[in-house]
Amino acid sequence: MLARPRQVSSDHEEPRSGLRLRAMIYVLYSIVFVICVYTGRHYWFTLNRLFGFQRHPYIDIDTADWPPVTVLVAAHNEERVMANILDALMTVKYPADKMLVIPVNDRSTDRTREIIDKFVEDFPGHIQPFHRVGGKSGKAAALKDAMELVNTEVILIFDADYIPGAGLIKQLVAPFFDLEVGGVMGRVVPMNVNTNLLTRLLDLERSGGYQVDQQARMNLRLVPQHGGTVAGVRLSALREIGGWNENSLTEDTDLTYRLLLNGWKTVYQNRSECYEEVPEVWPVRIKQIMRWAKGHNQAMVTYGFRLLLGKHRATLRERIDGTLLLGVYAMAPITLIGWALALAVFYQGVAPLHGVIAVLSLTAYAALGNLAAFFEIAAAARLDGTRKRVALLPFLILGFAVSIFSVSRAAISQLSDLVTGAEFHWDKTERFRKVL
Amino acid sequence: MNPLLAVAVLVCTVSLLLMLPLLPALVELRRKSDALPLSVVQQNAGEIRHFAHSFRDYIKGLEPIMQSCVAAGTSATGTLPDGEEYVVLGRLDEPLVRALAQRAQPTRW
Repeated sequence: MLARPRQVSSDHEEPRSGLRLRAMIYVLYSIVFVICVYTGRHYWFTLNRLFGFQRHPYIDIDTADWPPVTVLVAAHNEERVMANILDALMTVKYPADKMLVIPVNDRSTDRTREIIDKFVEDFPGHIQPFHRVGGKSGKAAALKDAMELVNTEVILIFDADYIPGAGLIKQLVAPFFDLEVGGVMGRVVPMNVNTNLLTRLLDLERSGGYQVDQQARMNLRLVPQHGGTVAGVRLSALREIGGWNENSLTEDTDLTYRLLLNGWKTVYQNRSECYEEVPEVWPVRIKQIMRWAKGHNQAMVTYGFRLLLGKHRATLRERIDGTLLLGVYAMAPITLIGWALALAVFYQGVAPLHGVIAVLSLTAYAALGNLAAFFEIAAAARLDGTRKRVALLPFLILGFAVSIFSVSRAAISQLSDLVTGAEFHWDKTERFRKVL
Repeated sequence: MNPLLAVAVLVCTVSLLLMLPLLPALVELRRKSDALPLSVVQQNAGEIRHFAHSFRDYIKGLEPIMQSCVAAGTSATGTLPDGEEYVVLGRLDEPLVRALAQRAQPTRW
């Protein structure tokens, strides 16, 4: 039931309330405009993937004088998964004398160290362990410390829950023959899809994110994002940008933007696929997305202004796309504010035209904004050749609802941390695989 | 109509309408008919010689027949272990080769 527009009681209140109302409406217009920009971006990416020219410039490099490569495996209490990735890495098709695996055991208190040491014994000369017992928490800090063992120009990075295929190392190394390339990112494919509704929804989300979003950015020469796993970085580029940033909450986003600002290209390879494990319970998923949101927002504050307006070699389209990419997690609280404003403006009793526009703004977002993301995921499912999993699309509203509130909560907590000076606590993503 | 009944009917109808798009989703969630991980080529991703190697392995059993056909300039037909039929042609001027070559000519529309 809708309330009647409130009558203005006196001449003195009118200017003040009118001003406030007008301010609310203009803020709402701005929010709707930004939402429309993101909606258009979703459609542009999806249509590009469905009908546009597809760029896979390095994927067919099969025969080459392969360079020496170091594979870093970030691990913190990974006894459930460590053996799987080391097993996989020991059977990849890459010249054995040119590949060194460094498991970065970051202060593990479980059997991770024991498992790594067993592999070192079984494969002498191929694995050099890095057991870290102290120092700052977090993946970036661990990788930074491990760099003392790295002396190859090409570095690949995997999280411990990933299972690389035999040809993946060559595929990820190949783009580094191009001297402009500073970073490489492969595609992440969930392997524990069948577990429950959450894993199935995450499978769809990953599909949309990689199959459409990342590849479209690659096609359009925008800003493919370095994901920090199934990924590579050039040592000279890393040195030029100042190494791993241990103060960053998401070292991958941080790396993407520092590479971009220093003129290095990041390449996305959609066909370089690697299995990963996605969270199987909502609390773990919420923690994961909150950490991503905080890291992304941190990068937005650090690099946003410089990327858009600073003096560097990024193209105009890279500046615009990079800025929009930095803002994706800020959109959750902004959208919530937009919803609240739309309702507030309506119940404030605005002039009919404004009321209509306010309601239209809300419905336009509900219809276009959400639909664009759904369209993207449905298109990704089609490109992947899957069929019936796309029927789960309506349930994604549940995933979006959880995300929008979790990401907004992360933003609020980040602001309060700024005020109180609290330090970020690194939450490791829990694993669910059964120990072999 | 009783106002309470009208409200109940309205609520039920709206709920049913809202549930409608969820029906295929609920069926898929229960049946799990498409719930396997996407197929990732773990062994031969990006290896362009893989097709050649695997085809060579596939027709390995035909090697003696191919050699004898080439030597004698004859042709042979048969079935592979997986049930696929094959034709081995020992000469390029076999009628069958000519027919295939003609079929391969570009067609003008």
